[in-house]
Amino acid sequence: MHPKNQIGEIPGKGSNIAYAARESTERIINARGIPHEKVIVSAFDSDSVVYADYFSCLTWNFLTSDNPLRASFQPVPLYNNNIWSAPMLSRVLGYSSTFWQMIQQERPERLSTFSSHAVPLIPLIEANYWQRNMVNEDSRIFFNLFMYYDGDYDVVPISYPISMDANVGRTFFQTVKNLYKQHHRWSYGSAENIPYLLFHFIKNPRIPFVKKIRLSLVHIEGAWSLAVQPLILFAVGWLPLLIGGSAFNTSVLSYNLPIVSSWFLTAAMFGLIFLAVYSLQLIPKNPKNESLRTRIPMVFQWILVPFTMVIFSSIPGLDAQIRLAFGKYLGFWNTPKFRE
Amino acid sequence: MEPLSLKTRRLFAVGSFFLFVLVLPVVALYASGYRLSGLSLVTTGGIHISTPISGVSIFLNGEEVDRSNLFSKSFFFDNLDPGSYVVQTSIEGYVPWSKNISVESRLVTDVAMLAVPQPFRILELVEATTTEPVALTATSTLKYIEAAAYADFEEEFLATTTEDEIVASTSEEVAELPSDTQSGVSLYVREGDLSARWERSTPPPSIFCTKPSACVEEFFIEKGAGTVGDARFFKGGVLYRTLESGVFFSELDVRQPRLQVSVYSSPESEYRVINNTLYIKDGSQLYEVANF
Repeated sequence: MHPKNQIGEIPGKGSNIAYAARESTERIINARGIPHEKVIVSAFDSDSVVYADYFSCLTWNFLTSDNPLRASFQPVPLYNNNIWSAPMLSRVLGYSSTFWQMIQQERPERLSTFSSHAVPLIPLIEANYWQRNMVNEDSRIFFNLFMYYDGDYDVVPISYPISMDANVGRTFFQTVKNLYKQHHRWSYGSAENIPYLLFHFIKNPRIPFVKKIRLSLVHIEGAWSLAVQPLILFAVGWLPLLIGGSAFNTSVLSYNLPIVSSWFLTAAMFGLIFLAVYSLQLIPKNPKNESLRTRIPMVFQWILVPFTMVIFSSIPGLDAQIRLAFGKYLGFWNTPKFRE
Repeated sequence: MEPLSLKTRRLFAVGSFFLFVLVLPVVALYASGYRLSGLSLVTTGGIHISTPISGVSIFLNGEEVDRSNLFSKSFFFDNLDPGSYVVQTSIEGYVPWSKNISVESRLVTDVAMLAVPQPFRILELVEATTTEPVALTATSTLKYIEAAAYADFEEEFLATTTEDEIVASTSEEVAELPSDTQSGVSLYVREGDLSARWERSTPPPSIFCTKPSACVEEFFIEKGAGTVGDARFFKGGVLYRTLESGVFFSELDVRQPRLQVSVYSSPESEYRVINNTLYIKDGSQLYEVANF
């Protein structure tokens, strides 16, 4: 068992799996003489359930990768374990995270590890395993390795899912609270990576300059978008009318602004409709009642997205970033998921 | 499945960027009121009209352009060349309303229809007694009310503004006190004339503007036609009485024609608004304007 109250650690997943990996390396891998270069370590959240071919798929990606010891491997997280007992809000937020991860997989140069992932043992040992004093060790291990290898480290997207629990509390209000805190933690994690990146980019001249600029912009823009874009989309049609003053409010522009913004938002909604329909492909069969009647809400639940974007993305994002900016550091919060 | 190559994604990104650069000025100019006329850009303006009720037909220069319904009671008409327009509304059971308005380039002229029922249904209030029970019918012009309620109404009218007080109100000192104030607009009765004044330092609302770029701070609602006794805001307009002709209801808008209707024609009449209902006293008789 991982002993409590270790100096330099915060209680959480990072310190736990770092301890477990180090112990396993010594007691199992080294004891049995297994070559380190043939070992890849899967770091799963406790609710992770692997599908039948996951390890085959991971192995294939590892073996066919250009530089397998300079890469982590990232599957697509699905929140399917309890999807049929999860409230609509949890389902929408779960699949929103899934789709975001799928988008990221299409642009691997922006990808960092998230939640359940896999890392080859050699780089893991060289980086001294996962960081033990971090809230979000999952993305940080990628940046640890990226810095350690002077920018020569990538994430290989695995086009294969891994199933986890949607965030469900014992009551609806507990679920809402947990969802907020979960997104707050994720936002905090993405924000706290930025100073880490910038600090090491300044200190490490061996990382190519273009990579430094690109990665800095990607993460700064990402943190800004997460917190601000939903608010802009939410307010663009009407906020200028409130704060524009009478000179603006009598202009044709002020009357056309809600109309024009509705054009763009309607066009964007087609993407949402596509996601709603596509999400049906990812949902497992309902073990109790597989019928059209149970599937239809899975499409219409996406109508919640304009609200979830603001309440569970923008507000916790701003909250986390302001907290970090003022030095109010966050401890690890274990998401208490509940499954029937 | 392999992700799209970096080259392909860059092509998409560059294409999207150029599409954005192309679309942005077109959308910005369109939203600002610019339109293409032949090969040149011209500026247009618009009219925004709001109707308080459903089923109103809206006419622009005599042509029906829209009709209000339960979900849509405000309408924006753009692509209008700068100039003069006549906006009219029509709905059965209400006084026809119209307004001459000016449209200016890149600006919107805002106007609100005033819905005044036609004809007014005036019920005479009668004190009910146990010896004379009468059932009311929909067409009855009498309305029987309990003795206590009748007494309450009479009491409301006891605080009557006398003719002497009206004359006294012509003195400068009293005349600067508004008769009524609502949302920054005050009503003043001075020397028998009734005017509305914008009291705030911010630009006035459209009812004070002959066109969007030309606004006044004060205008007359009633001047010279009669001696106004008192006035107050009521149902989006102004209720006032003249010593010569009785109770009137007027639209509050500097633009012409201004809707003004006689509610009750009797020099002796007075009015009170109780629980948002208009009551009139003529001599010893009390009346309720039931459909206003």
